[in-house]
Amino acid sequence: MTPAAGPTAFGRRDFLKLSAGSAALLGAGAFTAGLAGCAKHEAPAAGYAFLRAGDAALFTAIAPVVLADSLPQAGRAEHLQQLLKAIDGTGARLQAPTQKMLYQLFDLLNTGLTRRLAAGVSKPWAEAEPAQIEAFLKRWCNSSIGLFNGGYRALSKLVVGNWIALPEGLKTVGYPGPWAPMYSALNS
Amino acid sequence: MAINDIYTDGIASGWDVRDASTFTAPTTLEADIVIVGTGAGGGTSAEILANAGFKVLLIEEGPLKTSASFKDMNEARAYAELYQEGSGRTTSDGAITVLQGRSVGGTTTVNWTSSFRTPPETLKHWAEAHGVKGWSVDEAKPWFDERSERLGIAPWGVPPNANNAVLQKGCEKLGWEWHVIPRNVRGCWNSGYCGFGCPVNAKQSMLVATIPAALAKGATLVHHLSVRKLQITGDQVTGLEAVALDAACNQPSGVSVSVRAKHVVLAGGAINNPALLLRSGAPDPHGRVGKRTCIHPVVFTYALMPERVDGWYGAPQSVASDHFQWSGQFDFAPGFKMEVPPVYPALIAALFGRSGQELSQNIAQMPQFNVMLALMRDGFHEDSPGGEVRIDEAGNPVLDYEVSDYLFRGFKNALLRMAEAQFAGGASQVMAAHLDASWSPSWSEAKSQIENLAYKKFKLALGTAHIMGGCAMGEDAKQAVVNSEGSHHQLRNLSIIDGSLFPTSIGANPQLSIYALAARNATRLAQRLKPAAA
Repeated sequence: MTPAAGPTAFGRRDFLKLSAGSAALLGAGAFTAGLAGCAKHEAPAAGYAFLRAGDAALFTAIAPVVLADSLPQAGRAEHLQQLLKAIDGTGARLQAPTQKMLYQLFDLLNTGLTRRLAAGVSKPWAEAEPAQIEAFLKRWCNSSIGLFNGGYRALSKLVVGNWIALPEGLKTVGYPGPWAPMYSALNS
Repeated sequence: MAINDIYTDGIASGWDVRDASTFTAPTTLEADIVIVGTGAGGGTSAEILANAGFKVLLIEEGPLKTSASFKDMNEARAYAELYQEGSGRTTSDGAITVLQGRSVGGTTTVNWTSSFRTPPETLKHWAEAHGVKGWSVDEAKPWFDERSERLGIAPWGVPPNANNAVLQKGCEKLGWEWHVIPRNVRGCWNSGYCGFGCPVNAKQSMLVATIPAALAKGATLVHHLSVRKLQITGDQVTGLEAVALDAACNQPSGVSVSVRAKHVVLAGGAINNPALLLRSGAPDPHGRVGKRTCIHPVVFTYALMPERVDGWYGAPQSVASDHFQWSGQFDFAPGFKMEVPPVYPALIAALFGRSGQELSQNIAQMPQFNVMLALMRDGFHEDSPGGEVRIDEAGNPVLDYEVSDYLFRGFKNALLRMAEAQFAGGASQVMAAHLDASWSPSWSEAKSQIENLAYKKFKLALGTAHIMGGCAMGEDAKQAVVNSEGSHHQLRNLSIIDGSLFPTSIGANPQLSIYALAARNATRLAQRLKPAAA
């Protein structure tokens, strides 16, 4: 097994310690009950149907790191706004049990204590350095704890699936567009 | 050129199609037979029952979307409008992605057109282990013949696209069995956009084939209508309680709808049928509702090919291999069928599971991607009992699915064989869809990497597009929810006719298995009800 980008020896030891603590916290119900308390009942942010203010900040911070060169530099603010709207639409179409699962994940990442312990990110997302975010994503991806792998899959899938479905995202995977003979026949 | 929109023309000619999101006051609907769900089971039943002279009411929770809205050939639009939970459905722990349709035509509107007969081994197993009567290989054959004729099902006559050709070439080189996949199409353009809704009405989905035929015979279709509860008195379903959904098909609009019918057919699929029965408190003396829900769990491998593949174009699935399906050590691990998925950009990028430069550099090479998949034949061994559908406190369906070591061994076997086939098929590099995997430049390196991966949920990318069972058929009421013809063991005017009947998975993409069984069951139902209703 050769993880594509494992943490350093120190980082790994540090993270294992972190993981043990986080796992205990998760076992104590932080993940399920939502340590954030009030955040659990918070309404979606203005203009959104699913994402709350903290969730939007989380995705604004992590999306450029998840997507790297798949998110073009030119027009980045506008692209991020489109992506957030798309993620919001995806969330709004989920049924309640799936929404609840995602809100639990977002609560974990938006509560200071659990964000520090589980994600290793000390500052609020809006202030987090890209390098910190990158380290967090790699740790959750490479972790041997299924909950972290699952959280990583959920976050990255929301970002990547929604971005690559948008016109600017589609360009970055070399998709030439809808099959031309049919598209032009039907849309001319 | 303009493609005639079947529904625009049909509604103009007098078809009774209603959008419940436009209802402004509580309504009562009546029919001889109400069918809940318009997918492979409901759509097939609707045509047969309408042809037999019954007043049929078809209810669909999703929207009516037709060729006119598919001509953008757009992936984002399709996922948002045509799939359960906007394509975001998963098992209850989030570990397995569930792709399931949710619009008029159900999953048949968005599936990839593979149309296999139920394998003889599966039919024999059902008779021997699950008390299914009257559905032997010989008894089923005429129904497969008849449905194949009705839906234009024939082996694909055009050479496979480059994505499918990798599987064919790999199997040929390795001396493995492979076959051309039969597809349910007429006048297919070979574009590859089946998963977004066929823009030229070539796919003989229920949306295109049977539902228009039922409507032409006087059936009523109401969409944007979600059935919440069956009203039950003694051994009878006396009515249905439904709620109209808003235009976005997301939230109840606030308008309630009551339905009265002499006979009720459930065809909402293997997640929604059990959930409806559980919400309704339907008799279930042996606790069988929602049990044995099989899903053909799927694992994937990627290959980088030396040339462009453009796996987004061309018939999505045209080649399959059953080489490891029916011969192997099945006490150790399940058999599996090998196929390819279409390389739909967002689907494959989301599956890829990487971030940062590793993501962007890899998905930039997507034109050269071949992707392979293997679907596990679950439900055939005691260590592979399927999952369970239950409801949460609000009545929402939830699918619990535990992955046993037995299945994990199957995943490992399948990843190895797929990687081997991809290298034999000409791949430069291969990688398993697993968070710890990396590209291997040779079969021997891929082999040792795959053998040493951690076989755990979330590490492995897992998906399913085939939800089966949960309302199993069989003669023994202690084991099954309905008898071998789909009649409920306790409720005498309730039938279940769709993939939720299957006592195990199929071992192949299930649509034709549903069509044939539904055609037989609906025909028998019409014969049985005729005297009373006529």
